[in-house]
Amino acid sequence: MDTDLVVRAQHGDREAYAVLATEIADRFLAVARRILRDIDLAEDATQQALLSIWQDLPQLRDTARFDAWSYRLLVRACYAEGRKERRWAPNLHLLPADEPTRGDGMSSVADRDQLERGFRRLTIDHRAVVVMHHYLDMPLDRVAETLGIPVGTAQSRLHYAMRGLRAALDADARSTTQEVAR
Amino acid sequence: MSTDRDTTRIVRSWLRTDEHESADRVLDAVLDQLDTTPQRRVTWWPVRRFPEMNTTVKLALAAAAVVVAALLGIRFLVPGSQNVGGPAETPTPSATPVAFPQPTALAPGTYFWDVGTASPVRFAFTVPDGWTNRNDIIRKDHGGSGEVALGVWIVTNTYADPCQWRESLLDPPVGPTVEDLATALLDQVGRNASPPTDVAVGGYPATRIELSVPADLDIATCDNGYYRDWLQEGELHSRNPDLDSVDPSNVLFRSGQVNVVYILDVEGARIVVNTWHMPGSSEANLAELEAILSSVSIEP
Repeated sequence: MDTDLVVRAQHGDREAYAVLATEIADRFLAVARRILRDIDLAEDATQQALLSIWQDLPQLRDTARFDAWSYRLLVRACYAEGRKERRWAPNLHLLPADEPTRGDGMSSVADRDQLERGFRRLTIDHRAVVVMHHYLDMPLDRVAETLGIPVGTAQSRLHYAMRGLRAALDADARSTTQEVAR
Repeated sequence: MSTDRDTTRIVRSWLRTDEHESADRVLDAVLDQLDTTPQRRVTWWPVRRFPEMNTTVKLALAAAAVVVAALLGIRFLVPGSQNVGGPAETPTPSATPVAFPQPTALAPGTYFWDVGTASPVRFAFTVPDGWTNRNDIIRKDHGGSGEVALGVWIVTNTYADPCQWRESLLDPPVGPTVEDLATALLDQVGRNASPPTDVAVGGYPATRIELSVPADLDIATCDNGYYRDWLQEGELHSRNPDLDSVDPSNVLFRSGQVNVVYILDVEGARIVVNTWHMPGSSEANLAELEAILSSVSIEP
């Protein structure tokens, strides 16, 4: 991240912030979408996070920590949107019906369905750790710093989240085996 | 059984699918708001000890503080005390205007609601041009006087009074059958209901009930300022208004609104297809809603 841009935006330079926001917006939306599993909620969370960053930037003391600090605001916005999801959204998700099946290693439709279900059962706390570690490739100590939690807590959340996802995949494998046996 | 390494590989691969998000729309909304969104500046209040004061000085300062507080109180608390005799003040905008979230436009075509954890079935349906999706509810003329909409719910409990809902959650909860839910909805206080009829949705038998919000009901007077008919799977009932932060685009009821609710039993899962329209919804919009409902296919 260009710290000069951060410093200029911190001092109220809207053009500098526009450049900064343009640089991070796509990545933020991708992270929010993976945490929330819903593009509308992810867009709202991203919008809220980008506005919060602008508003609170003067309070960031160490501009070198912009990345971690801004991700923390994004995850906070995801929490807020996640609460709305529980309140109003049906538990069903809208997808194009003719979505092509991918040919990579994991992607049987059944695997993806099971992962989706397993992931939605996780709390936002657990989802955020999984996405930061396995999608953004952040080491766990940086995940912990970003989320403002002890490293042990990050490790624990990752462990239980992955255990839940593994159980979801195994449950699918068992049901497939049973179907074949019948 | 998967190994840890398998799971990690699968999860990483899954997280990397569909990496085509573009935040252009969000970015436009944010940049539009920058000019009217002030930054929160750091205000430093240095920690300082005042020199020792004698009692007389302390009392004088305390009296001065009381006088200032009283003057401020008169200035800001007494109605009509502001700007007496002067020109009308120009209203100032709120510090942080928040853009009304826009729904996502749906291209005409066939979609399905993925099943999530809620039920063992998949709902496929076809939408024409002009429909949008927000929070997995498809709508046309979102928020307008001619709105029509359709969504799918797994209902776990209902409120006896959708307006005064805070203290009216059914206890014990509504039973598990289609009839249980239909009865509970028909019994709701202050909601005009039609008798149930038997129809079919997606090839499955369904109970159809028409429920409307009284046209003269001011929903702002309801608990927490909104109307609440049921709890869905995973939703929490909270009486505490502080725990509610309602997104205005998500409020699902308005005065005069008519909900046509279809309750289905699909392979043992009770599923509710909830459609609604407004008194001002056009015949064309209603026909499109009906066509979407007719296009539903259910895949166990």
